[in-house]
Amino acid sequence: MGNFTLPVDNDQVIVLGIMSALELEAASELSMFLDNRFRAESHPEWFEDIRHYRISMNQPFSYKSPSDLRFILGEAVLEDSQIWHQIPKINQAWVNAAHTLRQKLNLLHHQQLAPNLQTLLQISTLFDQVTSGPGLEVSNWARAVQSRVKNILAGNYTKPEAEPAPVIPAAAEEVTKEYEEVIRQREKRPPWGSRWTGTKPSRKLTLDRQTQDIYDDNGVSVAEELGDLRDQVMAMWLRYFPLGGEVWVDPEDGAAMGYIKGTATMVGWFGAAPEDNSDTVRGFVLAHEYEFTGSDVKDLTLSINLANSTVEDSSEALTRLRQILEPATRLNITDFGDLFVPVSEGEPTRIMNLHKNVWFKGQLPG
Amino acid sequence: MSDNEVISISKCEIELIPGTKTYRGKPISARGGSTEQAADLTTFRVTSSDELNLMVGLVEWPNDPPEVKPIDLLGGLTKHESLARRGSMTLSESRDGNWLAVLKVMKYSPDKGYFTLHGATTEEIDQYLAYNFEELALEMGALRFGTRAEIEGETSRTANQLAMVVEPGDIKSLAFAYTVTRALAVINDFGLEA
Repeated sequence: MGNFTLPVDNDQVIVLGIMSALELEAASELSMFLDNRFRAESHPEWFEDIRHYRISMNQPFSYKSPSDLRFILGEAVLEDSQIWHQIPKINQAWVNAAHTLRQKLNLLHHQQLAPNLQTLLQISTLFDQVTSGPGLEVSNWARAVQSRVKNILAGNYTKPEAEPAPVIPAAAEEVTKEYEEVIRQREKRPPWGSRWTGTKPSRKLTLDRQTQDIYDDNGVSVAEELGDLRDQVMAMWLRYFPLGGEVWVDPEDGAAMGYIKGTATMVGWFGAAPEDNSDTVRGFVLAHEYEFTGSDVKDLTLSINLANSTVEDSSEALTRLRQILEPATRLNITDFGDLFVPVSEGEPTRIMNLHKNVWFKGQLPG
Repeated sequence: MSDNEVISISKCEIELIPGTKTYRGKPISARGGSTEQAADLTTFRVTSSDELNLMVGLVEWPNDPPEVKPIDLLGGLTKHESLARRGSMTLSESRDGNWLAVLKVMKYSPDKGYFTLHGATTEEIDQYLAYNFEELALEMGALRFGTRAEIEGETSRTANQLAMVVEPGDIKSLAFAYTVTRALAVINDFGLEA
């Protein structure tokens, strides 16, 4: 095994590098493990055979290498899989972990996993669950990462001053490059309720709660500029500023900044938010797993239900979910409040956007 | 750049402006029954991360209790206007001849729809200050800190009020107390989410 890098802090490059390197290492070791097992059964063309089988079954098969982890995990969880029988100690927990890991890696490759320690803990736990059964060496690394992250998060680990910074795994280069633009965009336009880190926008507007109107610096009402979005934007800003207050709007794209508890904060848009009318999922996924039960959303991480865990009434959102989702559907949400069903391949599609007050209290920014 | 002493407290900075000026007005304690009179004014400026720029003064009247009051709101948000209109702090003489400052806090009143002065516990203040209020107050120069019962031995209905005792004219301690209980309370929307 190559680098056995462990994080020393929340450095995004290192975190991304470790996630990416774990993926490559697990893929390499798992495919070698399977190859040895199949060869022992005089079945060296196993990858080609699986490919032919899937194509004959009219199932999509786009993998070019047996060391593509998406292929191994995807194939292993299928009931008619040949791989399934080769993995020792396989059980439903392994299948669930493999399925979730595949979805997480798909998010990583679409730059939708937050590059932080919480995500690294989640990913390394899944890698451990998937690779320890076959006794792969990478599971030791995954466990060491888990242990280190837990210690850092608990404040029990101090970054050594004298030691050099951890080696950034070579595998990090590509994935961090892909993330760079996403991170730059997030800094410019962070999720609603997050700290505004850019320059202060030039157009100052004042929200008046008595007249339910928005005025510019000359006292001229500008709410009509919002057209059909007027009520929606007023309601959103009054959530942030119940007494009324000021927002500063970027004339170029309508992004709005306001002060919340003394901190410059992204408070939405004067007008339609970009991609409001598309189903593109924006932002980084929260490190919680959810399930639609048929009548409610359950946070599987905390074992709590949405209906009694919100600041505001969530019944409208739950009614909409009842109309479009089957019971037992898994859900993820991003820090932009975009709710979606996780997928193992391709880009997920947004079901709806939710304000922090109608989602589990304290989970969305702001 | 000013050479004046600046104290950073959470999201605010206090600039202590040296010297004393003459101030003309009526003491709060006179409740309109007095004619305009001259007093000594020592000022400090409170600025914040959310654009507050407020001049505040310690007014020492010749025959009435001293008070800390807003002088001029030079800049800020709509919600900061409540600091210009309310939140003066009247001081009284403590048992030992120092000054007693009652530490009421600007708190949002849902019934009234604006901020007014309310009693608060140190725990509540510690929470929005993100620091130990008492510890900081003593560090800034307060002589005693606690309820009026604890620091003055009072037994009246105001005995449970939070207060501190400072040396007469100790502008640093008073500016600190004003900033925490007035400016920072409004900035942090104290009472708004309750």
